[in-house]
Amino acid sequence: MEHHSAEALERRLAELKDPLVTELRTVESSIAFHESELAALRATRQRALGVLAKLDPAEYGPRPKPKQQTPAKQTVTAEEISNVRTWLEANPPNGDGIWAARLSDDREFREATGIRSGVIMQALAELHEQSFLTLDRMGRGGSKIYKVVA
Amino acid sequence: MAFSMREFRDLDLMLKLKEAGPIPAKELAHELGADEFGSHLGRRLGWMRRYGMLDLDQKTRNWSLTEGGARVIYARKRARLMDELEALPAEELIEVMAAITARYRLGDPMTAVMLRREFIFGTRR
Repeated sequence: MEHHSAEALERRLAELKDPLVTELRTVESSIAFHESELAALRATRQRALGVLAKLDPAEYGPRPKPKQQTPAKQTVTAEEISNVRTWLEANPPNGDGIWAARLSDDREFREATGIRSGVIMQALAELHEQSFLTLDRMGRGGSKIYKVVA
Repeated sequence: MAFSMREFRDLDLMLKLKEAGPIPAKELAHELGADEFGSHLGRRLGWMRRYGMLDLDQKTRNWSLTEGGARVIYARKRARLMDELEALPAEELIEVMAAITARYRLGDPMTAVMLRREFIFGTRR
């Protein structure tokens, strides 16, 4: 059976290590070289794009950011306005008046009129223009409070 | 609060005055929901007075409806006419508009001004 002395083991390890260290240095040197090449290429590309943007702005100029898609504004329908009017005639509001937020919270109102909550304010404004409602006062925060015209 | 025509129609202010009775502008501003009283409402009332819709009692500084203004308010009760108008085909509204513009030219100045201001309010969008 072969016995390894401690010296022999150290020598063997050193023999394994040295070529790996050499290999690592070669790889690091190669990375450094390519990184510097890459930086130079990027700088060249930037310069070329800058010149091209002036020569042909349509193709190489700054691109406008795509507009964010906003949901289409809801518009109140004639049927919804009519339903709100009918409901207000049948359910005369108390002395506090009528405002969109209160109606929006009223489940019975929403079920009876089938109105979308986003257009209640529009329906009230329309009924104001039709003289069915009068703008009685402005609430805190600018909410419009209406009353049915007697 | 600006009390502009984009918010309050002349009729809104007139109905408020009818409900509240003769009151000073400061109280009217409070009734309309304003926390503070600036000069905006006073200016608006001043123009309405010039157009013949409102009166200002110089002693009490109370604002009230003129006779003409009150007539406009009470005329609003004849709402059946509105139902008839709504039932008209759109094409026939041209004739109605022609009749309105004729009254605008030939009628009394206060009503003419109110018609003009209603048109501004209703077509602002």
